[in-house]
Amino acid sequence: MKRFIGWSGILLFSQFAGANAPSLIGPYLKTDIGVNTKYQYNVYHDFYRAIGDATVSVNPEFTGQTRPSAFYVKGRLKGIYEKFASQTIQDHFDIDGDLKLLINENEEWSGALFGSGKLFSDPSPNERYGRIARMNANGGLRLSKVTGKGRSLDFEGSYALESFNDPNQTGVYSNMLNNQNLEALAQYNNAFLPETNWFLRAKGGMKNYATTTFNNPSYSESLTAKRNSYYGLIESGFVGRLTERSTVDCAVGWLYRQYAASTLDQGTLFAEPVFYMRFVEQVTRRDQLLAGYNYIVSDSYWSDYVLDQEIYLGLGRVMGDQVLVMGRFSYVYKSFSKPIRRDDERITSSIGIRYSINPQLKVTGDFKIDLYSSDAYNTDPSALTNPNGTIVTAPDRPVSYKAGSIGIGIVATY
Amino acid sequence: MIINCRTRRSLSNLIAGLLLLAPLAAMGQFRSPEDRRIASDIIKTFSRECTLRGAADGDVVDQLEIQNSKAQKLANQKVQKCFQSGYSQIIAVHSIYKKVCSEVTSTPETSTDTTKARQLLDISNYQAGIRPHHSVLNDCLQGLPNREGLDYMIALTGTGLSVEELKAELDAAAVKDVFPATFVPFR
Repeated sequence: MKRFIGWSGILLFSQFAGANAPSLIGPYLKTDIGVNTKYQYNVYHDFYRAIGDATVSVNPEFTGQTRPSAFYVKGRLKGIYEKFASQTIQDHFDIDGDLKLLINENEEWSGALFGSGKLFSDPSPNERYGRIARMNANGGLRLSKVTGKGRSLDFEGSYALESFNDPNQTGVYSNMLNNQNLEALAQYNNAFLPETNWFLRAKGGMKNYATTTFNNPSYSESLTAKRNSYYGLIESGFVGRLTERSTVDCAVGWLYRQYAASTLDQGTLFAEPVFYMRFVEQVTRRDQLLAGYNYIVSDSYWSDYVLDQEIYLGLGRVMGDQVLVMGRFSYVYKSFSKPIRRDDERITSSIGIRYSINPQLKVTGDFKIDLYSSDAYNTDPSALTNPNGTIVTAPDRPVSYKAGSIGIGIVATY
Repeated sequence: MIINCRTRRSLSNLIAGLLLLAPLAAMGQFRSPEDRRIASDIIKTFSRECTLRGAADGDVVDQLEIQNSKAQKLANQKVQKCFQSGYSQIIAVHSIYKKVCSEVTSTPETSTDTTKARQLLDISNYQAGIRPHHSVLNDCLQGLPNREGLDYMIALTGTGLSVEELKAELDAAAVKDVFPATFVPFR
């Protein structure tokens, strides 16, 4: 029997909805191969020179698992090769994978050993700089214990490593943002309704940079620093179904984040409430509305910490059975802490279409807009020329940019 | 809700048609071209819907198999009793449903009256798929004392609100942050 599940089928039958649904079935290996072509406006994200270029990318992705048993393995491997038509300095190949060993799943005591790795790069900011190679890796152990009907405890410990290789720097400067992060988590879950959990979570960790203080003549600040920090977060929230047609994922808590003192100052401190909330409303069987607000603090490469406030709204609609149309809008306000204060605003918007020709083949179309406004300026001298032959304004080039892309693609699943 | 209403309407039309035509179909012939057309429409409607329903039922059967083995492993007598009476019926009905669906979808529209009549009878017997039997099993599990059966229940198809897939698509549509605000150069 030919199995065809269109988009409305996905909405009608919850079995196909959860990403974990296949784990109930047995071993599988799924391969997705995507080929995309798009036109990117402002490939260098430059305020003055919006240089556009056409790109072609190939995105293979493999997901699989062994047969569920007392010990079994789940994994995913994803790659992307993107080729630019004329701005070839932006060509790149990224690879990203994760592996999880699940132990005693659905038993009183269960656990998971997990690890992931990512080799990728940030875009080159101009025609000569080169992309900034990066590597992220992390691993850890998660243990869960069922303490009663609908109640459980989770414990997790993890270690993460971030590595940078700036092609235009030498010595410690090329790896100045290398860091390692040690984190522990304890969480109590109480399923007070069949599909709704209340949780209480305590999280703590420390982040250490390999090079904490250095003189960097390339930048306007003669002395810059990346400082070590430790933090603790206690938060509580709800996750799961709120009503028959809506789901919620929200938490509110208190974050304490302390940065080490240095020659710059006594170290910054963040000790304030943080929260996030996210609602998904199934307006009809064919329409879904997503709305959320984040007020979160994380470590920043630019300064000590960054406070991210994001509001986002998304709408998905299934037309007929084979066409999915989506729109997403977000507004972000980023506030960077001392010692290098900076405030940024970002507006993004995207429209996407997915046409499911059959279960194995989908055609995609995307249109994206990205508007960035920052009060930071690059005071580096610049010897670049504009397309019209004039010299690129320097110093004080704003970090702000306007960028976008439009493209089509095809995804084949095996 | 739109799809729900449409599905209900098409199902009620299907049932009404089946009630009218099933006795005639049993004799292997149709009285008039109008009856033949209605029979063809019923078969066509079923063939359009059965692959989707069959796939969804297939996943329910897989999940029930896991729950059944769990009940056996934990030697829960009361739960096992529910599964003994309902699970084998579900498997049998699902197998027949798949067979009927496979036959109906692969048969050309120009098939003989006898074939159409046989298909109509099969459809009238199995068009609901495993749902009625699954519902009986759930009733049995729900009726067990101390809520013992709740952990073994699998929701009926089409009743759960599914949001994960679209949510994942909407998240994937987000515009990525191209510069994670590094020092280089002033990003």
